[in-house]
Amino acid sequence: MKFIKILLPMLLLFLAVGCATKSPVVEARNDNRVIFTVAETGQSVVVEIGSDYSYDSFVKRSFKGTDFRGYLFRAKDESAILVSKMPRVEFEDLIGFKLDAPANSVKSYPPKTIFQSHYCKLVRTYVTTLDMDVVSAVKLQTPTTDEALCSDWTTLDEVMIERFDMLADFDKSADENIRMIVK
Amino acid sequence: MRRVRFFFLLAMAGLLLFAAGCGPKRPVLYPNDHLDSVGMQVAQADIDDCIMKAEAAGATARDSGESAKNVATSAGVAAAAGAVFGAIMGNDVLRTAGASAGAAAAGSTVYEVAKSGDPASIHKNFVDKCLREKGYEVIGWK
Repeated sequence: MKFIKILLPMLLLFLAVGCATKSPVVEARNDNRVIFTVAETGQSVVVEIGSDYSYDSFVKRSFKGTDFRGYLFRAKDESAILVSKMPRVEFEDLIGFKLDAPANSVKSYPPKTIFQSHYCKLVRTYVTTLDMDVVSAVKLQTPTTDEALCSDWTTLDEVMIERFDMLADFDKSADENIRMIVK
Repeated sequence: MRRVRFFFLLAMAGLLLFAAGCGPKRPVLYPNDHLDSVGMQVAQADIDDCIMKAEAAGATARDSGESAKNVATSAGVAAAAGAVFGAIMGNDVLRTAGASAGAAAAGSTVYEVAKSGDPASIHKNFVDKCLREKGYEVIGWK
């Protein structure tokens, strides 16, 4: 009996500590709206995806030892938007450097478009830190289905030269269809 | 008094030379048939026109001061994240042109990103393309 009296509080204590160190950010999706909320403070980041896109699936991947999960939205133009969150520490490990935003802060970084020649893919990314997590929304699209043409491109500049209008539309559409609101 | 004027003129000349040396770089044109036919004066006007078009399109030659540093740092976050997310999703999400999936590419792409976002290179590419369309051959910037 005495043993249980000691063990039970210990178990509760370990549980509390375990839950505290785990990500305190909860997430919920409602149609084209994904809300990430810090349970303790109520602070949240709302990601709103435009009506050009419809929800497709909840994707799970394992990448360099990190379990990745995200909400995938698709549009008729064959572009896709991925909305996800991950612990800040894992995010920093993956990108290879520390974020300048103070810990436990909310900071939105300016979006940026890159070209991944390896996958022939344009990627525009929106990042906001939320407490000890990072919320991201990523738009992905191929600039061409012409394999030979794509193999000639290695940088965004080269894509820009050949597909300036397409690139401008890609960015514009992404900005119109991805809204990250800090509340 | 004459000595003061001498040093004043010397300083002004120095400033002028400094400004000329540090001025914005401009495209250098190869003397092809088109350049021969229009002449250097028209060519310089065309270069100015292309530079203005690049600026108007948002492909500015450079950012300035501290704000440029901040933008570079902040933009680097989204760019690096984009490289990672793109690699995570590989070819699963999109119909892509013959690229093979492989997460190992992510690391190198992050470095590629840093170069591709350089305002100066985007500006140069824009102006180079504009001049090519006008019939010139750009062999470098000076």
